[in-house]
Amino acid sequence: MSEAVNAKFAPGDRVRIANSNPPGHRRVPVYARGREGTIERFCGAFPNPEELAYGFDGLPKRPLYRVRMRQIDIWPDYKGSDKDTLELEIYEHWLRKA
Amino acid sequence: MATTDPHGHTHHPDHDHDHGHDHHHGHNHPHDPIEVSEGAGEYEIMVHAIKELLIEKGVITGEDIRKTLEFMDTRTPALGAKVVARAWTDPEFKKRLLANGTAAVAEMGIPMGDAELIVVENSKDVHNVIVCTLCSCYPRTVLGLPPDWYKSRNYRSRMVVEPRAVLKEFGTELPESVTLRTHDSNADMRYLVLPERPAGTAGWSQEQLAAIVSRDCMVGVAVPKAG
Amino acid sequence: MRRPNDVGGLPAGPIGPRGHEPEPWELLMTALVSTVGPAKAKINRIDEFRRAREDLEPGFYESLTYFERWAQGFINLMEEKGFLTRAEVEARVAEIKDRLKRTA
Repeated sequence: MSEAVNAKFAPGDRVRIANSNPPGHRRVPVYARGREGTIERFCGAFPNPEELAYGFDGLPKRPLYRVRMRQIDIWPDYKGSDKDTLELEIYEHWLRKA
Repeated sequence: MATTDPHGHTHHPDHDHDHGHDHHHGHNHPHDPIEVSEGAGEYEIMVHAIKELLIEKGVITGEDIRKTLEFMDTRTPALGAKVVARAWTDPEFKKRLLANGTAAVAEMGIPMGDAELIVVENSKDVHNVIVCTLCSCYPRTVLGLPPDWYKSRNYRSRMVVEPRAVLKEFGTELPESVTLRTHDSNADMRYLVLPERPAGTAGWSQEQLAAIVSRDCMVGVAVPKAG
Repeated sequence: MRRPNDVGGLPAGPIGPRGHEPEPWELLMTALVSTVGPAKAKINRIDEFRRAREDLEPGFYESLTYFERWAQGFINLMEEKGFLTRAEVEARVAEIKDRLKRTA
């Protein structure tokens, strides 16, 4: 599934998604930017969609992770269980150790 | 009302088409060319205009389009239901499915293409639901085309912030004791929910089990029922 | 800046109708995108098509339905790639309309 790649983060690591607002095609929804979560798994490395979107080859491949966040950490009025989660895929270059 | 295609052939949509073409092994009848319908709206005509121009300019052929349509025809939720039924009856397959969805469905002849499949398991404590807030990413080779509601602005906006309310609109109410995991399919992964096998299905065949697994169950907005 | 497709968490209404089979022209639109892109000709990656849709002017974007957005984004992308022009599409649309009138 994935070739050998230097993945900076491991499952269980606390990370923060960059609160960045770059122009153009990005795959980090605004609701997730600046939020903290936990690495749920390493998904493998893939060409960067932000560059593929403009006809570049997106290489070198970038490590992709599933980040698990608590709903109550994202939405002030979240209605549900405190354990409910929102999980999405974030590329390594959008992540910092929290 | 006859229309003429770019190859100069006249088609009469009112008449049955003669299926005197090659039959590809294992597939249904070859896909008839899609013609401009009577009373076609602006966008229908626009799409046909685009098609004609791309064929004339040699970017693709009518045959290429036909093959794509034929493949699309083979992609239905029945494929996903078979995967679920097998996982319910074959614990080793289920383990493989949860560890590497792409490889496991490949065993059943389902290609994932450029995407990877992650299968998330429902249990008595955890319920999973899938959305793509940024567009409409969906495991098409396992489930076919996504329904309109999945692609709708309302589903995509609300499923991340008030998932329990949205599930309730689908008739699915979760007790607070059940943890709800909402997966936003925003990159290279595609998701399939492995529903919990319902009570009252002991001894059922895989065919019987697959029959109660709807598309909505594999997106996570519904749960399968035995009755 | 929030691009027009980035709608997670925004206020929205009830979930719409559940059963609607795609129209043949919507299937054709889907097939065109796939055939020109990853499934056959590989003219573009799916990411380029997404970006082309997102780049539609926000007001225009909001006014379009799902497959209308696909058609408009796709025209822009094909024009960008040099395979056709919007003017050619418009001319062909007019020609098809004539064809339909003549054979009606």
